[in-house]
Amino acid sequence: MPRRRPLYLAGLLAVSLSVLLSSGCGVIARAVVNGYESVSAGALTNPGRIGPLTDTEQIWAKAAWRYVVNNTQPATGLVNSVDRYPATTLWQIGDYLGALVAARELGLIDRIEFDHRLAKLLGFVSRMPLLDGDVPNKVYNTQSGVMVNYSNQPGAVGASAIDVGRLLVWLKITGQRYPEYAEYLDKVVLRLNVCGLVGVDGMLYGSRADGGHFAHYREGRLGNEQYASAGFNMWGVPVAGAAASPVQTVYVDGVSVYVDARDPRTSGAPNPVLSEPYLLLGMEFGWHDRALGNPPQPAGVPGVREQAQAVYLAQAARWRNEKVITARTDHQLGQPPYFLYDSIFANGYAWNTLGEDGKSYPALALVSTRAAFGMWVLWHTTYTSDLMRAIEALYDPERGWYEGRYEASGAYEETATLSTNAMVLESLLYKTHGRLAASEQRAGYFDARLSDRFAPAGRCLPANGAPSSESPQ
Amino acid sequence: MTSCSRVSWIALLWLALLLNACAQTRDVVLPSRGDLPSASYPPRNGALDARESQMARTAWQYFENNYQPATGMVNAVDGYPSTTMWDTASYLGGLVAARELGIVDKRGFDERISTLLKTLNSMELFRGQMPNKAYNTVTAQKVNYANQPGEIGFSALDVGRLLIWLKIIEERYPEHGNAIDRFLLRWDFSRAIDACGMLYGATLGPDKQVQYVQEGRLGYQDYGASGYQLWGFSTCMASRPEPYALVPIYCVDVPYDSRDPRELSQHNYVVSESYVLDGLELGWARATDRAAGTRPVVQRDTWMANFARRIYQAQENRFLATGILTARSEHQVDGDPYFVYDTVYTDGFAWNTITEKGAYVPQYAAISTKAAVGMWALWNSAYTDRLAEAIWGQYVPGKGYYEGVLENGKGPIKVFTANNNGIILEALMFKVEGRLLRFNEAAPQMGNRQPSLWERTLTNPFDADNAARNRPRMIARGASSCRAGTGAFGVASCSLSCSDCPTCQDDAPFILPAYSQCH
Repeated sequence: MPRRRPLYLAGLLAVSLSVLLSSGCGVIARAVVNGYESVSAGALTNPGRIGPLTDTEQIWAKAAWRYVVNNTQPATGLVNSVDRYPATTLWQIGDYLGALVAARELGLIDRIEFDHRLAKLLGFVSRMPLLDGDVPNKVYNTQSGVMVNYSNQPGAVGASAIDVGRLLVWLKITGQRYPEYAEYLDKVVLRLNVCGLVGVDGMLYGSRADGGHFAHYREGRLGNEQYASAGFNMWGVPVAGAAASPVQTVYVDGVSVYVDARDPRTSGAPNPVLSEPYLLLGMEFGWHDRALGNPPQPAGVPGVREQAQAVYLAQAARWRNEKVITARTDHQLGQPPYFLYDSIFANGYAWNTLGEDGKSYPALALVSTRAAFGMWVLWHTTYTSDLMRAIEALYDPERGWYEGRYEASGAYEETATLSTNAMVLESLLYKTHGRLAASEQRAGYFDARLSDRFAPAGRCLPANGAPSSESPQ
Repeated sequence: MTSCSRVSWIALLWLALLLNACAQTRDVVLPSRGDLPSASYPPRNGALDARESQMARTAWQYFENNYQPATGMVNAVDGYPSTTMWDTASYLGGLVAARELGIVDKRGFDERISTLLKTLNSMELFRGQMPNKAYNTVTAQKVNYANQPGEIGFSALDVGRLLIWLKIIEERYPEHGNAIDRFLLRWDFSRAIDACGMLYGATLGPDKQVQYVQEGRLGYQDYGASGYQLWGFSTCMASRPEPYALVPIYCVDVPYDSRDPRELSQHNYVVSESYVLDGLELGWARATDRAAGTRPVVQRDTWMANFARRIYQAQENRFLATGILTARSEHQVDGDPYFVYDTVYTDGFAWNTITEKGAYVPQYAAISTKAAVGMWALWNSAYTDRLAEAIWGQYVPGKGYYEGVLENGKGPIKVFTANNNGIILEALMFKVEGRLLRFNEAAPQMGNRQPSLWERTLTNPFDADNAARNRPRMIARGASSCRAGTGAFGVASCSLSCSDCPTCQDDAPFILPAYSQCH
């Protein structure tokens, strides 16, 4: 149920310019051939490959949904983050909501199954145990529903504002697309005390268990921080987030790429430039600063669209210059170190494949399935066509899509994850419907609840239900 | 940096539309608009004023204190009887400057040079090949890093700097040329330079096996290669700027060596020193440019001059943007870790300060005295006036100049070194005389010049050592067996055109990159 946005002349000009820039004339020609169907899917207002799914793409979508079906836990309604591994994060609960909405709109499930699944998930989220301050733990066991540590043993490890940010995005989008559930989705946000993740400085804070208490730290770097901030902003929680992040420019294969300037040598936190947050920002928000709730950028500071464009151009340039097929983002793998920031740039180096230990693992770089899907759908170019040919076979119809293909050898990384399969579904949903989040908001339970001055909902929430407005008192 | 991107984005968009509307999107490197401000800063030139003369005498005091009369060597660090060929070259720079500035008389100069050359002509070389990395300055024995008798290999860059100073002395004081040539004729270059002109150093592995490894990164490598070139070697691979990449630092695209320090054992540090020394001694000219070598001025259109300008401008811009006075170089520190690479850029980060092992030690970031004085000499600007004010007074009478002044406000680095005080003297001499290497055109002999013992030996077809020791291939002028251009030294050097290197061309054009994408 996509909403049509009014076409303003200026907006049309800007968008068609960007379509021309990012896609070349080919997309225009194809758009004419596909005619009405593409236009009705949003080709005029959305960049990239817009149109109905082909038969092959239908098979791709079914394979991705198969992952979800295989990994749904009946007890909690949650979906495993990695194939047959019963744990999940709040980010991945957001992934699941996205996959669920896509499956419904792509016709993979009917309204009844959608309702069953969503109800189960809402039931879990309304009951799930929370940390002190009513913020969610980073990890939950998908079978028992208890808080667990990174080894999936019962325990509390702290909260992640970034992960919650992704969930907030999909709680909002799901409510926009299915208003009949909006009330219950709103109640999730009121229960989770998102204010506990926002500092007095309006920045996102995570926490980690440190002895008997939780230590708080500024969480997120350019990219993920902007994405998560958008989630908070959608609910009227003003998060300065990435707008306050220092940005520096580096050259990667001759392209100016924008990097978080906070110093990984002193902060201990890496500053990787990854595709995924920019792809999500594109598919869900169309890279519109207004839709993201960002304040107007100061002159000279690259906007999110510019940053995303740089991330794409750098990867295409690597293919052109070095003849290495490139689609980089953080990924899992089935061997140590199990998780890598497979980046465009990180900690001083282009194409750094960075472990959480700060070491480089260049032999473990992947052509990431989910980065490839996102780039393929958002940039209609010969490069993304080549890219898709490189990964279009990376699925098992009985298991879902694999994480990616090793740059070093072409071998598969056969780990299957929820994030990758959800991204496949989200990309295909974007292809058929264009931008996923609506820019107008309809007042609902959340707003009614916030306008009750005698039962304040949370110190960081907007007082009158007016997003981003200052409280008069 | 961030304030620069919007304009370039708009321009990029329009250029992309204009040039390439139907093709794939691609980045367009914009041409730079105009030059960097530092392009208009001339070198300082003129007689020394009272304060500068005082500085020269103070710096020379270091060499008086640390002179070892038995060997003619000078301690590299105050009071510690050890030195390297790099530091010996810095001493020679200090000595020549002291002579030219009238601090040392002819007799004192000749005695010091003769004693040192006697030692160089009798000391043991590493495996009989090249000078060892370190020598004891009292005994002239080869030593290890602990100054104990032993050997540890040789350094291509140390040797390269020494070759530059031996050439400067031979051209300025031909009376010492024979002893210098005798010293070089002792060397065996076969492991130090290959057919493509790549420079190698030697290290000892854990099992005492010798490993010969490519040595040098952009800046130092090209500076060291100039020393080899001056003696007739082709240094094609070492003298090209490639492989390099750019990093934008305060709106200046700063070049750095793109060989990956994570995979290779060498850091790719960008510091002032290599570019300052190349400017003072060679005027940023190609070493083989004999016309440039007869004039006191510096070159402006070589890639080395262009890169040096960027390294200077990035430091001035850092001061303008942050208020931190900046003159970065490698330098000693007082106590562990004793030595840091205090850089404009290295190992992925701008303004990185690291130890030899790569540990990040920002507390040792400093205004390097030698870098500050070198920049003061080569760029006459309000900024270098300010830099000079910061370091004029950083000395101990009777000891010499401190190594530097810490950026964190914790005062001077109270270490005295031959390298620091030698480069200070070089810079002051540069102010008076301009480019330090001046080819001697005085002798009215063939080709305006009397061939030296070195050149006579190299052109002797019956000297079997020429090939065995991998000396530069030269033939007497007029012979035709080799398609050689006109050699620089009165003989034809054919090592370029006869070289067996298929992968490098000395004269391949190099297109200078834009100064920045943000104007």
